[in-house]
Amino acid sequence: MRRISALVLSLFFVSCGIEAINSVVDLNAPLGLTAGLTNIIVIAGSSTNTNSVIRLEFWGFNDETYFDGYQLYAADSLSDLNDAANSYRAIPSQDGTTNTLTIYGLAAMTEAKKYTIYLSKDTNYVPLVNLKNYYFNVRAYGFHLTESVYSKPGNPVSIQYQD
Amino acid sequence: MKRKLFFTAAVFTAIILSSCGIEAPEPIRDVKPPLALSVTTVSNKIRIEFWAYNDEPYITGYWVYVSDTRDNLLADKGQKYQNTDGVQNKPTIWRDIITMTEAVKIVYFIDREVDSTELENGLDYFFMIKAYSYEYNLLSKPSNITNVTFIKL
Repeated sequence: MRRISALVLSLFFVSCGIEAINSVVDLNAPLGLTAGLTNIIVIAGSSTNTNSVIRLEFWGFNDETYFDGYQLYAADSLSDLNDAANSYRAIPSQDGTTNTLTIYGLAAMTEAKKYTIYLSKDTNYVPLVNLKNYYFNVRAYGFHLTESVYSKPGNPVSIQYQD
Repeated sequence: MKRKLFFTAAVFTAIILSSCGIEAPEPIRDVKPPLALSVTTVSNKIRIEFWAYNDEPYITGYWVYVSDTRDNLLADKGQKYQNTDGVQNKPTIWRDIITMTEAVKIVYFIDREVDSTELENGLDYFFMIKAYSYEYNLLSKPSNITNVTFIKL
């Protein structure tokens, strides 16, 4: 009797198509990444310094409920950049918070939005090196149920830093 | 005992047969929105540039929407540009659009109004793009909206 029940239940689930449920967990890739150099004036007490930083801009439209933010990556070459899953190439949050995305704590969007970040240090918090070429890209990140989800990478860009 | 077995088998059979009528859940299909739309005036044309990463196997192309105000586009009241090939069931941009394996920049030029009249010198044109799948009649969420003042040389 138990064997029959098990068989019938299996048939039931199979006939329901339950085995065919597709889990669609995806994130829209951020796009239109551009890199430029910008001067930032730093005023500390009576001293004023002008620092050159890399300005990264991109567009995102992440309406997924599990979206959380963006992880930017930096590398010395395009081939290294394509291996961006390596966390040591991840650009940390510029506010000094550790173990977070570059841009974190974002809510699901209702329209396309442009993001800008300014970099004065590389992935290891080391100041940018004059005349060095840097390569960047960006992925959206989310957390769905128990799973981390990354979008496909956006377009890569490169720039030569000049201080 | 035989009667009980027969009853149980009948119930299970009924369940199986009725469950056959339950449709398997359809996978959620979507098309990703194009982004980073920018427009400029170049040689008496409007140059439209945007980025896309449509890895869906059913992507067909992109509709270009235009209006004289941003609010119209936000309210989905923009006008659609038909493709210049005169091909039915294809959006404004469709040639060479295939499923993508990386982010792609797309550039398109416009030299007329939606009704085929000339672009008006000094007029502001607002644009928006949506990705489109003909196979599933799907439109993506809109790109960012941007505008340009058309200057005729």
